[in-house]
Amino acid sequence: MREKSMNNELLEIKNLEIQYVTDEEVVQAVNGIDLTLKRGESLGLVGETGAGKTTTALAILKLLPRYTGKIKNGSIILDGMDILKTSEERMRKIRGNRVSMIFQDPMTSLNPVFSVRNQIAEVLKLHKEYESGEAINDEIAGILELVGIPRIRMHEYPFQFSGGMKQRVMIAIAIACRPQLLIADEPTTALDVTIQAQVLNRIRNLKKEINSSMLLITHDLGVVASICDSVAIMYAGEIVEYGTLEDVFKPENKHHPYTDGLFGSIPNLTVKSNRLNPIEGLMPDPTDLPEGCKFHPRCPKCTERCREGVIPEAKNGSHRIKCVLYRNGDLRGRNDV
Amino acid sequence: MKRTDSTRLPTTSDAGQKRRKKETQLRQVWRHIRKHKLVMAALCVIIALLLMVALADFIVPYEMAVRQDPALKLASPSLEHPFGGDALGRDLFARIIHGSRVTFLLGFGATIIATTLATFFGASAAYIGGRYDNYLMRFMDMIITIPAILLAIAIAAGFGVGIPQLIIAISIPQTAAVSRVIRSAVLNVVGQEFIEAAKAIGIGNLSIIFKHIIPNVIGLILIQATMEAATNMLMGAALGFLGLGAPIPTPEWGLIMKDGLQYLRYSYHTVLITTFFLAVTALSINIFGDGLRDALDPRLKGRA
Amino acid sequence: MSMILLECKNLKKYFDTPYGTLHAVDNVNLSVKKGKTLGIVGESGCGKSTLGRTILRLLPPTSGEVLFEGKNLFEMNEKQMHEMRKQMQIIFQDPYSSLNPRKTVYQTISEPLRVHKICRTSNEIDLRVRELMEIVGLAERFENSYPHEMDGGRRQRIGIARALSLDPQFIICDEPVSALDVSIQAQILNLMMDLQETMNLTYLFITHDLSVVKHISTEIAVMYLGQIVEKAPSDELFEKPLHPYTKALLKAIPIPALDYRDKHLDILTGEVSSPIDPRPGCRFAPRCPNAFKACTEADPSLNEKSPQHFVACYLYGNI
Repeated sequence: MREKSMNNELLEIKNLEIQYVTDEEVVQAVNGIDLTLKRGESLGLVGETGAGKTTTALAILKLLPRYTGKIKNGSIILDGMDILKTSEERMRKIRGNRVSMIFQDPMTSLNPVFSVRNQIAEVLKLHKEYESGEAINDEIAGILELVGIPRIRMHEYPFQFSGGMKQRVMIAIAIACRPQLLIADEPTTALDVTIQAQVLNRIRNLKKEINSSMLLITHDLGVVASICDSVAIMYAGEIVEYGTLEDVFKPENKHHPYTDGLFGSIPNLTVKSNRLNPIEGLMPDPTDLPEGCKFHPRCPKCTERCREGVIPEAKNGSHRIKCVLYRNGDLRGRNDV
Repeated sequence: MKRTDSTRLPTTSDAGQKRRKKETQLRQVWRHIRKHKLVMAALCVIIALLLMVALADFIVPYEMAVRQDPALKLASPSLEHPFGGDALGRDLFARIIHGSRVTFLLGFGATIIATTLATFFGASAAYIGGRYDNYLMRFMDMIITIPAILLAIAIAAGFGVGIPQLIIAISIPQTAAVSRVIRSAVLNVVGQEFIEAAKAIGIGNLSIIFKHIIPNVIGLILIQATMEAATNMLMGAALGFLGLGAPIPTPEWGLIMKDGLQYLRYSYHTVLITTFFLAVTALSINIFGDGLRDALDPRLKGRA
Repeated sequence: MSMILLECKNLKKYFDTPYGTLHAVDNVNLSVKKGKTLGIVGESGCGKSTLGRTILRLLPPTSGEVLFEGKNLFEMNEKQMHEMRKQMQIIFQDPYSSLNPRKTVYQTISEPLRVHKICRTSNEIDLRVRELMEIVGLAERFENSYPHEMDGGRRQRIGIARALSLDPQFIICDEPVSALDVSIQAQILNLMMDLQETMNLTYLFITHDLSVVKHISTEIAVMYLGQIVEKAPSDELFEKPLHPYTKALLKAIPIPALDYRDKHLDILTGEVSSPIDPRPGCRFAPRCPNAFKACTEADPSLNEKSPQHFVACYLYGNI
């Protein structure tokens, strides 16, 4: 394995804890996660509704709801800078410029009364200086070209675009300033499969061209397999399994029971099975999480040890699993090189 | 830590939800209202006012409200005449008590008529749609353009001056305005899948409207109605001032206030007291309407 | 060979729009065998949901026939149709809008029983509601809960219980699992398959998700812009897809496996054309990599290429 140098890491999240606090209840959205994203790497953050994926993304941009979202603990270091200690003024210069976000729903994320050109120009003008309108137009045309929209459609309005095209416009806005980090929150969930394939292809090619890192939030393991280099599986605000795509996707490796459950829940296209093997039960109530391992009430391999205390993390190179079943260095089924 | 009952059906065992007790809608609403002090207070005020309307003759004889006593002209409140007298020397306390009858009749009468008609027109237009919807709504647009005052004059010309005519004059343009609001709310509900599910089960159109659509817009209807009730009282007063409402000696809050307004410079208590009554009435109706809407919406229940 | 329960013949459903006639369902022929599942798969706007609603007469048809046990639904009067509704039910996609937010679980499930006067006393209704709740795996303590207090999976179970309450033979499932998380999705799919076995139900399963449709269906019909382009037994369709659209669709699914990456580079370009006043010819021709002149001249018909495998494409010959 390659030696990591400090400079190689773009984003480093350490022991991040986030709660949503209201008068009646405290929602424990993120409970101590550690993540590292290298330059040019794409990381898939996988989990079901309420796992804390989007909360993590919003925290990186410092966009948590002002009065309810509270970061209790931990640090987020972006390119050597501590996000949590950065002023709002500086953050505004970072958002859309060095870090940008693609949202799930292209239908509502674009402002219907501005032309596509103007929406992209808005971001560009915020973060860069231009001599003339022509210069901006050229730049915008170039960006649209990257996402596969011809220059002549520049002055059209969002309603004139189809769903897939709108999502490309969203991507164009997000990459306009060539961000170091692109956060994509379920970018293809609202799209049809054939259009999803087109958009995923675009994202994959773009990453090579603008060489940015990407944090992809999704519930779809198939999407992760097609564009990510590493994967973090989230459950109830914790990362239960983390590693390279190979670490997590290789059936021969050892896995967290939740990861196994996720894979078992997906109907397999190649093997005809009679019944799926779903995970029993439901996500726990985030205002009242279970003690010990958050997954133990649904876990088929649950032991007495899982019900309380801190659950240790087993490591093997890049592969990490938060489960009492495994020991350090013992995550490969076969002998590893 | 909860969730230990894994012997139950595995798929539903683990949310920490308590069983909700079965209770009638009325009980639920009462339970909700009782929890909110402000709504309870509003309800008490409304009940007191209604009692005042019902028992006016027992509180003070009607005679007192119309008899002119020169000694009482613009008199300040005293023990004998707690609210003093008006410009013509009539006892203000008696006038306010008896005036409440006409005012309430106007306010509630017009509101009930307008809301019922508007709910019917609005809901049917949204549910049936098509040409019926189009023609009905254009007709309503037409009615909205006629000012209530003009309509009241026209009705008075045809059918004479009186309270029923006034109620009709107020409720017609209001029906038109409110039915548009209700139509758009119903349109939202009609588009949802549970309406299709009801059709797939074989439920008739009328049942769908009454059992599935109306309960989902009842909150909006109530809010509309409470706002209407307050407006209608004021509107009745305005029209009464023009001589289109209650015949002259009849006490009516709007009329009393307008009379008092002319003598504001010499005696402010007439306007002050009447405004107070009008404001308290309108306010408690609004607060109670708000509370009732919340009580009727299961989604808002349980949130303190 | 089992008997055919439901059959659509030349079914059409057009909508008048200000821009022209929208061909939502255009000449669809299909049949569902008793106790089996026919999957209808297609992308958004292909008319699959309209098809389901037209079959149930929730939307008035433009022309064509729907035969249920040989009887034409479109010739029935209101009363006969009311009786018929006991036999055919529907489960919706969105567990949030398919349940009346003002009704408790008990009220929602018991409503069909009251409307069709299936149970005479309220005691009978109580028993039947509890039975249905147990069948779909809902604990009894939820009976007075409101839908908003429950999660998506449980809400979908209420919808299933409501559909089952009349003891139907045939259920149209309109994307019943698309709005759910994967682990919950698997629970619901298993439940639906269990129910099919124990109650001998027949499903018309509408979805955009190919892996789900493959899992649950015995036969699959692929729809594109209001027409069925290919129909085959489930395994056959995935192993030997014939129509270029089916092939493209299969290639586009992201598969959660390591060796999948970079394999689907030859993806379909362009987007679905407008369903308003479509030009004659194959609807897929503008995006089709193999289109030739004949494709834009007349609609291809659905022909049996190999036993049970139908395809509407000029590549495979056409009369």
